[in-house]
Amino acid sequence: MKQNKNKNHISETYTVPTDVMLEIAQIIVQADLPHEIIGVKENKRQVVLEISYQADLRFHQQAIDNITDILREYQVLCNEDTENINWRES
Amino acid sequence: MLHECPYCQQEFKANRKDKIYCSNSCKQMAFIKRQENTIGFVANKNQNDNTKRQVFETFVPQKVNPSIEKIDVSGLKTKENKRESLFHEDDEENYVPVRCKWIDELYNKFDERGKDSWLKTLYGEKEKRVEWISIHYRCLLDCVIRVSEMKSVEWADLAELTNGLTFLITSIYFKELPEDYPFTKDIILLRDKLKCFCLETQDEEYVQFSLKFSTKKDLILQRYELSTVYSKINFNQLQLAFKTEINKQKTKLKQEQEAIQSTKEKPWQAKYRALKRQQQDGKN
Repeated sequence: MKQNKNKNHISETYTVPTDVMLEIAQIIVQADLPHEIIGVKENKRQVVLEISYQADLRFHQQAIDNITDILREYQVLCNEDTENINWRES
Repeated sequence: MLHECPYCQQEFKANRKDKIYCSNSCKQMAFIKRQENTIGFVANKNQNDNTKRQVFETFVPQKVNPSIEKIDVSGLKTKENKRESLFHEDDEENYVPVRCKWIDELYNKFDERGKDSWLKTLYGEKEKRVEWISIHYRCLLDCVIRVSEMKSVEWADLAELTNGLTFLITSIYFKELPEDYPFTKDIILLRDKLKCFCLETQDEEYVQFSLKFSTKKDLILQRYELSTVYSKINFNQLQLAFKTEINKQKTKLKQEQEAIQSTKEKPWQAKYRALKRQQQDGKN
């Protein structure tokens, strides 16, 4: 997760598995967060999203927390702690 | 620095030292409140002065106070802070977090299984076999899920995985698994499905292999359950383990065959014994 701060506007990069894409999209739309798809990892079925938010807005902060919670839960469940591309070694 | 907003009493991060209110809406509301108090003061001051009061009453209607509370301040806001103020009041407190239903479902299933707790069951002597099978099955599950997420996969790789599962099923440990081991059927089912897929696509070098979401969920749950107890190995380690296990099984088979042969009578030994019996019978 990369961070780019500009005063109160923060943009972060999230790698989202397609399995939880629907939920993440729901949060983004609900909170009206500015976002952009900046990449796709085809071999891992992941989408790289850049999401911007205002740090001083609690609503935005809660939405971002919601996103990170879901991604963390997915990571715990799916044991995705490795960046290794070779499936034989990961 | 943190300031307390005199209107909403909430703490906020202030960019400037002299910032008083957390938002423009609070600033506006505070101004309206101040106006309200001032109007009240004017009214009290003019209580004895009938003429002035009449003027005041005609100028400011009596329902002025309740209507002030209902003033819609959204129109006073600029475009920039409109969103801020919208979220700053009720919405932020009523934020309902979005839950991932299928993740919750899997955790619930995991908890349900935890009640019977096959993990807590002591397998005793059989524990080693269960551990061996579980570690290897976990690795194969990992690989199958990983491969299913790839855009395309070499057919040979898929065949290798199928062979891995077949080896697991034909191993001695699998045959001696306790009856209540929860993944016995799952292992066979996964192998069969993979085998069918491999047979269907055997003419292709690269194949598109993907799992149905329901199947994937099952496999994720199984892998998660196994990961809570058993360690992780990768496919290369698994192959090594398989090779050593094959060698072990081969040597065991050899030893068994040798033992059988040593106990079996050779043909010349049988003939010799039969002759001896005949000789003994002749003497008698």
